[in-house]
Amino acid sequence: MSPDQDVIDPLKISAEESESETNDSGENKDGEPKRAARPTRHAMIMRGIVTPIFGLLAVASVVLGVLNATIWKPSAEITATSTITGSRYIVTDPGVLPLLDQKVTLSVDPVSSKNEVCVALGASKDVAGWVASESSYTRISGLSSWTSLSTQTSKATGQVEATDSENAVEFKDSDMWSSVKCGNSDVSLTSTKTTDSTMAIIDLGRGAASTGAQVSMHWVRSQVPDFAMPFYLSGGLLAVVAVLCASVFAMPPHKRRKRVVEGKATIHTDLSFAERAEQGLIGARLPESVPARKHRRHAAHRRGGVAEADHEANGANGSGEQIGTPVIVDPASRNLVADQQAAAGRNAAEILLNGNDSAAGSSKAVTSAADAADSTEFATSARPVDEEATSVITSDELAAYFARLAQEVQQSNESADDTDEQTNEEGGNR
Amino acid sequence: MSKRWRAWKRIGVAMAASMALVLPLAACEGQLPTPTAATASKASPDLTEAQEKKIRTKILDTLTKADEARSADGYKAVMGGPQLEIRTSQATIAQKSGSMNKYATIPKDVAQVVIPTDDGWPRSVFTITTTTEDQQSQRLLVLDQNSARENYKLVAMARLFDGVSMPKFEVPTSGSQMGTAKDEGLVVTPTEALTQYADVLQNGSNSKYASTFADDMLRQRIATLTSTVQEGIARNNGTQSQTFTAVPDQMWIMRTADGGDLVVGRIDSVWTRQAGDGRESQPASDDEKILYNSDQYTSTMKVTYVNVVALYVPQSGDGAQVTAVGADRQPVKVEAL
Repeated sequence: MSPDQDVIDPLKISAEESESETNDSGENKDGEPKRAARPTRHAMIMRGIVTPIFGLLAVASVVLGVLNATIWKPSAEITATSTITGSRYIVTDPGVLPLLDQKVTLSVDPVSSKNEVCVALGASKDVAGWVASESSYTRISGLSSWTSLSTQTSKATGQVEATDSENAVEFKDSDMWSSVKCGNSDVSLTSTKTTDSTMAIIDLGRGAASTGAQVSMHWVRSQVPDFAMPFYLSGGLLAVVAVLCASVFAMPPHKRRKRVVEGKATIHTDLSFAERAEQGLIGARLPESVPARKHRRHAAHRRGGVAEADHEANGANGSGEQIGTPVIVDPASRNLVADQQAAAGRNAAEILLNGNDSAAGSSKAVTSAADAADSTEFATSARPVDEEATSVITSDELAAYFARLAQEVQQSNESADDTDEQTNEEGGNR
Repeated sequence: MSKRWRAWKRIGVAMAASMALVLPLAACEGQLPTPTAATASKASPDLTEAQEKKIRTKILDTLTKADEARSADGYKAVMGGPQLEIRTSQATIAQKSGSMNKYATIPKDVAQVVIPTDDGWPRSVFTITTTTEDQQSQRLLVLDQNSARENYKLVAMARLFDGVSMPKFEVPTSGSQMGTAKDEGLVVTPTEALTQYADVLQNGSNSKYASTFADDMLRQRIATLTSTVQEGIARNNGTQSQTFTAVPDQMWIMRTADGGDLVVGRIDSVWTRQAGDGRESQPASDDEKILYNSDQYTSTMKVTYVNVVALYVPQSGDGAQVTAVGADRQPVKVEAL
C-alpha cells in the first residue's frame, strides 16, 4: 500500500461511514413513519387489546382494594348467636372460646326468666367432669357462619353416677370454675387470656332445658384479615404489565432483542416467535433462519468495521482507473514551495529521476527538517507513474507501461520539450 | 333483530361472568375459623396456685368461724375424713376447756403446694404450710375433691416432725401425678406401708416390719407413753393394750419428684386400759377427761384415737426405708366399759 493511500483511505472511510450513517438514519426515518402509519399486527394486538385488558384489570384491582379497605372491610367485631334448647347444660368445645381472639364475651339470655342461669369458665377436664353425670348436654362446636353458632347434642359418658345430694354443691359454688356469673336474664361473662383448654359451661337451671336460652359469643378480632393489600399489589403489577405491553412488548421483537442482548440473533422477518408458532411455521422455518440470521449479523457487523473499509477500498481501486488517481486534494499536506521548485526543475529539463532527487534536496533546504513526510509526499507526487505501477498490478498494464516508458525515454533523449509536455500533462491529470 | 338480541345476550353473559368473578372478592370476613383440638402434649395441673389458695382460704375461714362458735356444725361442709373427726373432737374439748388445742392451729401461709394433674376424681392437693406463730412445726394439709360435683375438703392434716427432710415435688405449674394404693417399684406399696406402719406402732421394735421403717418421733412418743402407763398399771396388776388398725380407704397418695410416694393415711387405734385390784381406770390426759365428761369410772377404759400419718415411701433400693415424716393424733372417744 502506498503512502498516498494512507492519506486518502481514512478520509474515504470516514466519508463512507458518514454516508452509511446518513443512509441508516434515512432508513430509520423512512421506517418509523411507515410503522406509525401501518403498525404491525403484533403491535396492534398488544396496544389495542392486551394493554387495555391489563389496564382495566389494574384499575379493577385497585378499586377492589379500596373497597376492601373501606366499605367491605372485614368487621373486627364478630357476634355469633344461637338459640339453644334441649338440655340443662351447654358447654363450649375446647378451642371455641379463643376462636377469634383471646378475649371473648359469652352472653346468655334465657327465654324464661324464671330460672337463674349461670355461666362459668373452667378447664376442659373439669367441665367434662361436671357434665359426666348428665344424661345429655349441648355442645357449642364452633361457628356455622359468621353470625351463628353451631351446636351438637352430646351424650355424656354416663359412667359417673350422680353424686348424692348431701355432698353435692351448687353449680355456682363449685371450686372448679375460674369465674362464674349468675342471673335471671342476660348474663354475660368476659374471658380474657383464654387458652385452648378453657371451656365455658352454661347452667340453664333445673327444668329450663325445654325453654332454652339465646347464647351469643362476642369477639373483637385483633387481627382482621387484610384483603386490600393483595389487590393493591396485584393492581400495581398489572399496571406495570400494561405499561410493558404498550411499550416493550409491542415492539417488533428483533428491535427489542438487538438492543437488549448484543449476542442474540436478529430475525429478518417481522414475525415474533409466538406469531410464527401461531402460523405453524415453527420447526419448518427455524433451522433455516438461524444460519441466515447469523450471516446477516456478520454482514451487518462488518459494515461498520474493518471489512467494510476493505470493501470500499476495493471499490476505490476499481474506480481509480476511471477517474484518475487522486480524488481528494489535501491542501494541508501539500508543499507549494516544493511544487514550484519541482516545476522549475522540470523546466530546467533535467533527467527525470535525477531531477526528483535534486528537488527533494532543495525542498529539504527550504522547509524545516520536521517536514520530512511532506517532502516525501512531494517526491512521490513527482513520480506518479511509479505509483501507478505499484498500485495497478495487472501484467498487461505493466507490460504496456514498460513499453511506453521505453518509448518516452527514447523520446526524451531525442527532445527535451516533449518530455516537458508529458510531465506537465501528468501533473495536470493529478 | 335476532343479531342484536344475540349481541345483548353475549354482553349479558360477559357481565354475569365478570360479576361472578368479582363478587366473591367482595364483602368477605375471611375464612371461617374452626376450633383446633387442643393437643395436650402434657397433662395440665388441675388447679392453679391461685385457685388452690382460694379454696384453702375458704376452708380455713369456715374453720375459723366454726372454731369461734365452738360448734362442729360448720365443719362438715369443708372437712372430711379423719380430719373431720379430729377437729370435731378438738372443738368438743374446746367447748369445755375454753380454747382450741394448740396443735389444731393451721397457718394460712404456705411453703409448698403440690397440685395433681390427674383428670379423674378423687383429686388430692397436698399443701405444706409455714410454721405456726408459736413456732410449731409445719402442717401438711390434704385437700381432697371426691367428685366433680363436690368441692375440695380438708381431709387430713399431719404435723411434720421437727427436722424431717421432706421429699421433693414437681412445681405447681407443671403439677404432680397422684399415686395409687398399689404403686409398684417402691420399698412397699402404699397400702402395705400403712398397714405395716400400724403394726410397727402397735408392736414397736418387736414388729416384724420394724426394719422397714426408719425411727421417728411418733413411734418414740407412743413407746414412751405406753411404757409410762405400763409402769403405773403394772403397779396395781392392771393390763393395757393398744391396737392400731390402718384404714386404707382413707389414704391419699402423691408421687414425689424422685419417683417415690408420699402417703397420708389414717390409722385408728384403740387403747384399752384395765386396772387391777378393783381400782378404777381413769383418763390418761385432760383431753380424755373432757371427752369422757363423766365421773362414773369403771375398771376398764377404752379410748379411741384417730391417727393421721404421713409416710414417705421411697423407690426400692439398697437400704431404703419408709420414713414417717408427720403425724397427728387425737382421742375422739372415751368409753368406760
